[in-house]
Amino acid sequence: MLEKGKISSGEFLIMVIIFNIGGAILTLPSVLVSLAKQDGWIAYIIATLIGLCFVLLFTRLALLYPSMNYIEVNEKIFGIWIGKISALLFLLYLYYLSSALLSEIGNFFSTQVLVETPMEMIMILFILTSLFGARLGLEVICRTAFFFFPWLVLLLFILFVFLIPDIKFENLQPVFEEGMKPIMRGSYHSLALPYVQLVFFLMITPYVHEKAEMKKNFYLGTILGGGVLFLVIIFSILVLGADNTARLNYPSYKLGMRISIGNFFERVEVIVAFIWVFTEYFKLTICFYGLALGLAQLLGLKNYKILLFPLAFLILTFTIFSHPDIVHYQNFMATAWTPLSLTICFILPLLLLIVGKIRKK
Amino acid sequence: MWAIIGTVCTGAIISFFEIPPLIKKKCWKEIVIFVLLLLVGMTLSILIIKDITIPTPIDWITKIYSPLAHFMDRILS
Repeated sequence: MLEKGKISSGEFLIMVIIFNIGGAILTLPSVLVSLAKQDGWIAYIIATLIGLCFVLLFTRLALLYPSMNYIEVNEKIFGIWIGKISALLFLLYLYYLSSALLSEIGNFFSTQVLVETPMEMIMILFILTSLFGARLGLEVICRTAFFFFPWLVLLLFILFVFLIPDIKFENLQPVFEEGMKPIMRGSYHSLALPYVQLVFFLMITPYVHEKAEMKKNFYLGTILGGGVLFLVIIFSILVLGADNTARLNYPSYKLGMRISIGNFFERVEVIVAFIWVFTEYFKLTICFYGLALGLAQLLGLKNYKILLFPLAFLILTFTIFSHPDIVHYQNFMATAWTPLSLTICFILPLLLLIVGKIRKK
Repeated sequence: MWAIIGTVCTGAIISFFEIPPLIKKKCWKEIVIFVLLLLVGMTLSILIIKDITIPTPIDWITKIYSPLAHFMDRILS
């Protein structure tokens, strides 16, 4: 056993919520609304329902061999060689995911907040912070998330409550303007952004104390995290309008700029940035941790902490050279990202579950 | 030039702190993998500093998935 820590099911719930929100809260509204126009919220409800089906698959897989994580289950069910290849594909996906999170942080800070700081410097600072977190292990990451969670709730509450005066219901009409096709397209693309990535939690389910509670909290966390994202999307449409939301890169950041109470409570967009940095940090740290742990298990090493420094180097360089510019990045996100995520995070686990059920009989 | 020296120094400092405990525990496999990963990372960062274009694997993935992506787009629009 490489990881001796244990986390409670409450901490697991909070990790699922944070994992859902992180990464998606700033960019998802723009992607979704540009495809489905003012019906983006309907598209998101459909995506959430499909996402719950994914969670059903993942919990089944987690309870098949409750004491093993995804890498070990792969080797157990598929045999040594095919299992190692399938696990390696999953680890490459995690590697790309971590570098995409890091590049989102770099892009956001260098275009919106710290305009004159070089992007590389921001990314180095962020990955170093993540490195400290991952070095301390799973228990510390989850407990820190637990302590920061009330602040996150408070900030989200402030954001939504103070936006209520700016709501214009005309922005939602007409509903179903272009029929069902654009809505389906929007929900297809939002499947890959938060929901299918939840397969990552198969890496940490063996370390959760109560298994029955864990199953319930997996669903609950998906619904709550999805609910927050749903609110962000519907507020973007209601306050900014569908056209504006689709045109902006970071619509929810703009939402924060709209808050104005009696001419003195203004310019609180940093609240949104704060929520986003929190959730993104925990998502990056847990992905980074999972990547190092998985790689150590795949290669049969005795200690995963030794891999963290070289992996930080590799993630940083990959972030810089994988996408030469932001157009390349958005192009990749719009075309190959969804099918790629569905293959690695949905079809492989599904195959694993089917083969595992047959083998266990 | 300074950036390259900085990169190499970072690598050296990390190895200086990480490798001696491993030698004491006789974990040879860990040392080999650590050095290998660190060398790959440092080579890549030196190539980036020197402004040499590295072919990105993302382009290959896009090429592999483009038939499927076009198919999904045709169905859904």
